[in-house]
Amino acid sequence: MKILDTISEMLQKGKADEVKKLVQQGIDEGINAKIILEDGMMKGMNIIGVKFKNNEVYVPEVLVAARAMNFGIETLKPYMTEHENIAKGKVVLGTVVGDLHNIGKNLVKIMMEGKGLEVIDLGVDVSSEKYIEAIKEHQPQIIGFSALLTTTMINMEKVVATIKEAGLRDKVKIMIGGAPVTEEYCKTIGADIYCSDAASAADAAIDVCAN
Amino acid sequence: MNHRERIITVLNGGIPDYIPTFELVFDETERDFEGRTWIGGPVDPDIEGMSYADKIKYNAKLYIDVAKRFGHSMIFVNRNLGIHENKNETGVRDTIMEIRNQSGDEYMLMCHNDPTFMIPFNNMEDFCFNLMDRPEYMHEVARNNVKDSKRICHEMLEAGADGFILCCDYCFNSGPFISPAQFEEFIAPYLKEAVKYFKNAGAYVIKHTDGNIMPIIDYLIDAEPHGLHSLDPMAGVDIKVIKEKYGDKIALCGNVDCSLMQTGTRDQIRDSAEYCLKHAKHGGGYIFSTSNCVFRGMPLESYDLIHEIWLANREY
Ligand code: B12
Repeated sequence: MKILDTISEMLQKGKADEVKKLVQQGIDEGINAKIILEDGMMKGMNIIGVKFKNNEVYVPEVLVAARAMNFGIETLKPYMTEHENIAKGKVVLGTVVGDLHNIGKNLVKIMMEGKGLEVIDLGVDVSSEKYIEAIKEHQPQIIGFSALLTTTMINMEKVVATIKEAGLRDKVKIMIGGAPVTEEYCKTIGADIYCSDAASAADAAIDVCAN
Repeated sequence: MNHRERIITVLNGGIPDYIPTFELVFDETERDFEGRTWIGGPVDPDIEGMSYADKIKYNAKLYIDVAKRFGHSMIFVNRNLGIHENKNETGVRDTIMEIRNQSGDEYMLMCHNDPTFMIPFNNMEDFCFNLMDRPEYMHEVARNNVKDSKRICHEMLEAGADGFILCCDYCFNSGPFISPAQFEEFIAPYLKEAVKYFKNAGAYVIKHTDGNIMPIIDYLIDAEPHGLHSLDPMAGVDIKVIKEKYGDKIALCGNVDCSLMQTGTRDQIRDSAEYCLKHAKHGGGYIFSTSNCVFRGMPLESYDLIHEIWLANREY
């Protein structure tokens, strides 16, 4: 449908008001809300994610696209049935203790939300205890750690150990990322998934939640 | 040739007696400096009852002691007194005056003064939305920042600084934080204007930025600072390539992989230091340093190792 392509296009350009208008128009034309969300907005957000990964767009473009997405979702919400409103999965994200870098983590959050996942953001400088509390409280399928410093990356190993000690290891998949983190490191510390960028992280999270 | 002359020679593209070295930040001070740490730094020392003047003296002495211990030719006053700063925020200026007081003209003495937009500390969203929605407003902010930097320029030069290291970070490992087109519009012209003004005022200027600078390096060169710091190999910046392409236009500083200095083997660290010396030494115009700084938690054995390699290879 042409209008869905236009929604995707406007979202990629970050035109929030246009997206809002078009979403309403789609609804008025009788298009299912879920279709508008998935084949219009999420499609656009996906393209932005891939372009960001390939350095074709930059953080400002991603953020305005995410803003347009939020505008569209607000317009859609009243038309979604309760069933459609249910997220595809739940992820808890945070930057590990001692580390204040959050730009990468926030982008991961945006991309995950763009795929229809619910993300609980614990912020930066997150202690092992906080992660444990969040697993107990929110029961996510995935818990994600971000670290940008080689000196704080090692704290990921401690959180994994604490999660094991708390008897929660088989309740969640552990996903890690951040500039110094590698696939090899992921294996060494016994985490489950490493992703080098936000778009791949969102794809991997969807895979986990689908199973 | 004293330390200051050595750096000036390099920044003017010349060949000194040996390759000078320095660090932008040196936060691992306990081991070699009787347990002393920076006032206002990540680990505040116990300074109960110390007067403002004595705090300034304390940090100034630590700057000089670090430089002496590791043969640094340049001192960068990278912070004020933090929570112990006075109301007028004169900590940097007073530290500069005190370093001159204690060490005369021995060291090249630099401080911050970068008016350009950088990767925001927080509120990335506000910054980006303004950039996209209110370009005129952002130009006005940029112009005002440049105006302030001109005032600061004179204040710091009068206090005894030799110039500035412009520390606004523009790049992630993947590339610039805004598109090259936005960089050209919102940063490049203001950087160029500021650098030109500082140089006309008699200052030396080194531009620092983290990350993968390759997509925007031409704008940095075009602004004509004397030097370019930190050339991060973690972000794919190769000093050999930069030296070949831009070595006749700008002095280079850095490129010894500071991430490896935390996580790498001794051989990897050695390779990184030797690579820099091998490819950047010839023809002068190189200041040896890590690709960012000696951050808190970096094992000092790594710094000792690159220091030894520098000592063994620095002579021209
Ligand atoms: C911006 C920045 C800062 C800002 C942070 C602002 C903020 N709100 O985040 C400020 C100025 C505060 C800062 C401070 C410091 N920083 Co800093 N900083 C950077 C810089 C320039 C960019 C980092 C960034 O945002 N990258 C962009 C994002 C998009 O990339 P990313 O985080 O890697 O995320 C992507 C992927 O990794 C992945 N991802 C990220 N998280 C996750 C999580 C999961 C679960 C998954 C699956 C994927 C994933 O997806 C993201 C998007 O694709 C880097 C330089 C560089 N070259 O990267 C230095 C850098 C990280 N900083 C460094 C240092 C040393 C510091 C300081 C110690 C400096 C100092 N002396 O004080 C302090 C430490 C403060 C602290 N305790 O955390 C060093 C680290 C060196 C090391 N080996 O440890 C770097 C590498 C600079 C350098 N050249 O050496 N910094």
